[in-house]
Amino acid sequence: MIQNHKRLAFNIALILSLLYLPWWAGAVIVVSACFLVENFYEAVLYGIISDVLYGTAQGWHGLPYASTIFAAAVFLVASTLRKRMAW
Amino acid sequence: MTYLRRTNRGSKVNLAKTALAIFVLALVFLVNLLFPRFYPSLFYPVTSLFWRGESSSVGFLVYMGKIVQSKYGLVVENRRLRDEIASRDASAYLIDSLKGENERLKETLGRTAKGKSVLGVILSRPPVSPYDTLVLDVGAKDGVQAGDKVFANGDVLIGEIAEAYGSQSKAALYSTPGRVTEVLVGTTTIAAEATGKGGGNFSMRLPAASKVAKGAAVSLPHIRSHVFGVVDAVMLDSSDSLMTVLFASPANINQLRFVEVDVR
Repeated sequence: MIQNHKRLAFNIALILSLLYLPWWAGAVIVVSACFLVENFYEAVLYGIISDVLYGTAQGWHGLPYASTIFAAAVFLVASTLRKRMAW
Repeated sequence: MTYLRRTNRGSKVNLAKTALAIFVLALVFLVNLLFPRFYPSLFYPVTSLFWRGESSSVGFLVYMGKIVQSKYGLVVENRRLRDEIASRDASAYLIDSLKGENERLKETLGRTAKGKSVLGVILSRPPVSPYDTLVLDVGAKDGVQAGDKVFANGDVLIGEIAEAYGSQSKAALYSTPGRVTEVLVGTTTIAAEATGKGGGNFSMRLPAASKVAKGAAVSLPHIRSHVFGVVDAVMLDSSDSLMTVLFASPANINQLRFVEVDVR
């Protein structure tokens, strides 16, 4: 139940951050969500949406889909670490 | 002794859930990869409504903030601004006259920089965008297309349209981190490659012997008279044959509300 509330809160925070907050605030929320919520798959979805809304062929330092790659990397690292950590 | 039999049903369900999530995400990403215009066409009409709402509410709050400022503060600011305008008037007349002359010369030589411009409201800007892009409320319906130049404050060239949708477009700033742009520096128009650093900032490497001073104008090879940047710092190391020049766009990207799109 608490996990569901946390998930919902993080989803709302991420939608708002995508629209109004600086990108680094969204990055911090994604990292927090991946560690605090079990299997926060939505992180990758928000990465894709960020690329859709703001990305161009130029990418970030020449890397297209940087947000998706960042979100997927954070999700994978957080999922792996969560299993090995005691909360 | 009786023990509960261990079952892996739970882990199997989890595995199935994970596989399904990965499949859905991969599908979403593939659609974006293969049809890059599909999602923006869906999202922009919706997000534009939120961005427009935010612009008006922020505008209202700023306006209310101004109202509660002390009257004395406003009088002082008013006087300062009046003095500033008076001191800039003379140079503005000169600039107008030079611009007119420049345009007439181009016309004499069969070239003209006169074109149609469309005013666009910025719906989203850095630092919300990690890619140094602007989302504008003008699109293909207004004649905007990919490659059109984007100007701020009249004559400051800041970027170009990367993608144009129905009523929205995405402008990529030249200062996008890692983006390399061919520029001309100073009145001697030294050709150089400027690398974007984000937020309207750039850096470039030039031979140490180049005569570039702080305040020198940087432009792009473009028919319309414009300013691209102003040199902010020149860093010269005695052990290096090259010097690093840092420059920034005179337009503050974070404070812009409108831009001008030069439609072709």
